[in-house]
Amino acid sequence: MHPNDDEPRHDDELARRAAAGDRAALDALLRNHTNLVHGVCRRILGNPDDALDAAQEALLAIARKIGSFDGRAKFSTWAYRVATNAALDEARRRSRRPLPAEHVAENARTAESTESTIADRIDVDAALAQLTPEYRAAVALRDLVGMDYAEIADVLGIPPGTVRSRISRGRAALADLLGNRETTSEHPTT
Amino acid sequence: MDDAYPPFAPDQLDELLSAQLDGELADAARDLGMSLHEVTARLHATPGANARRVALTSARDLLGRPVEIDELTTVRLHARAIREVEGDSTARVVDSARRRRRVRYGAVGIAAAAAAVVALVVGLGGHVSPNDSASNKSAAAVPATTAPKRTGAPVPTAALGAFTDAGTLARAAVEHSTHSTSDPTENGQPDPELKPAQGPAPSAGNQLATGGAFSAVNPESASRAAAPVATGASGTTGAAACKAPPQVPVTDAPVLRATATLSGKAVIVLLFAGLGEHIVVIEDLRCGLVNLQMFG
Repeated sequence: MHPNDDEPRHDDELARRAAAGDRAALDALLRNHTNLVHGVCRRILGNPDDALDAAQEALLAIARKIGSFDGRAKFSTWAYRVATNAALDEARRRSRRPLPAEHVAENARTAESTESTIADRIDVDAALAQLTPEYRAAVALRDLVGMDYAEIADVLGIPPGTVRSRISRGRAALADLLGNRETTSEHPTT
Repeated sequence: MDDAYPPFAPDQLDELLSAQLDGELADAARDLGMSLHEVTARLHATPGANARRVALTSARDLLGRPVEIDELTTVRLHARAIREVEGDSTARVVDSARRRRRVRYGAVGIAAAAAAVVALVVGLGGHVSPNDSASNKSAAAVPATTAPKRTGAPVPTAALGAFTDAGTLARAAVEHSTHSTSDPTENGQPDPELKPAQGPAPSAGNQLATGGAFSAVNPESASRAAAPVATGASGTTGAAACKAPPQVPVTDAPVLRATATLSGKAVIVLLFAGLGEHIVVIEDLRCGLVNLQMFG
C-alpha cells in the first residue's frame, strides 16, 4: 500500500516510541507525515486555507493523542483517521458559516474556467467539488495515501462496497473531464 | 456485442473499472452476485469500456499526485504542533504547581485560623497557664512555614558536575543550595549521595520524572546543547544570561545559578525557591528549556 514497504514498519516503531514518551520519535513521525496529512485535508476540503487549518488540527491531535496509540492498528491508519476526521470536522464547520461574497465569486470563476484549462492543467479540487467531503475522503485515502478498501472502510466506518462506489464517483468526476478530451483526440470510443 | 453478456450501465461500468484498477474486481463481482469471469466478459462487451478505463486510470494518477505545499508551510505546521504539545506539558506542570500552592495556602490559612481561635479562647479565659505554652508555640510556628524571600542578595553560581538524569541533577541543585545557605564556603561539588546515576543515559524524549516531579523536555534545544560544560567565566556568563521561561510560575530571582552536564550536554541550572517549594529549570546554553523539575 505504501511506496516503500519499510516505511510503515518504521513508522510503527517510531509510533511505539513516541507513545512511550520519546519526543524525538514524535518529531520524526510528524515530519514524515505532515505533507500527506495536509494533502488529505486539501483533497477533502478543496480549499487551501481550510486545508491548512485542518492539517494543523490533525497534527496537533496526532501529537496530543500519540500516548493513546496502542499499536493494534497501523500508525498510518490511525493517523489518517485523525486527519480525515479533522478535515470532515472543518468541512462541517465551514458548511455552517456563510461564505464571504468574494469567496463565492472565486468559486464560480473556478467552475467556469475548468473547461478551458483542461488542456494544460486539470483542477483536481474543482473536479472533486461536485462531491461531498465524505466521498472525497475515500478518494484521498485511496489515491493519495494508498490505503486498501478494507482500511478505508475502517477509517470511515462504512462498508467496503460503499468505499468502492465513493472512489469510483470521485475518479469518474475527474475522468469525465479527461475522457471528453481523450475521446476526441487520442482514444476513440470502441 | 454478445447477447450472453449484456453491457453494464455507465455508473456500474465506472465502479467495476475503478475496482479493477485497484485489484478489487473479484470482491465487486461477488457483491453483484456474479463470477469474475462473467464480469470480465461483460466489461469486454460494454461499448466505450476501454476508453473509460484509460480516463479512470488518468484520473487515479492525477488524484495520486502529491498536493503541493511549500517547505516553509510544512515546517510551520510541524513546528507548531510540536511547540503546542510542549506548551501543553509545561502548562500541566504550571497547573500542578498552582494546585499545590493553593492547597498549601489553604493549609496555612486553616492553621492560622485555628491558632487565632486558640489565642482568642485563651485570651477570654483571662489568664495563661503554663500548659498553654504549647498552643502559643503552634500559633507562632505558622508564619515559619512561609519560606523567606531571597531578594537583593547576589545569586550564587556553581558547577554541579556531570549527570545522566535530570531528576538527580535537580535534586543536586536543591541540595547544593541548601548547603550553600548553611555553609558559604561550599565549593560547588555535588553531594556524594547525589552522584550521577550509573547506566545508560535516558533518551531525550519527554519523560515523567518519579517522586512527584515533572519534566518538560525540548529535544531540539537539548540537541543544540552539545558543548562541554563550561565551569569558567563563559559558563557563568551563560548561566547569568538565562531566565526562567515565561510559562514557569516564578517571579523572584533564582536562588542558585549553576552549570552542569546532563547526558553529556552542557546545561544551565536555575533554582527558584518559595513557600517550601523548589523549582529547578534546566536550560541549554541558548537558554532553551530542556527540563523542569519541581519539589514540594
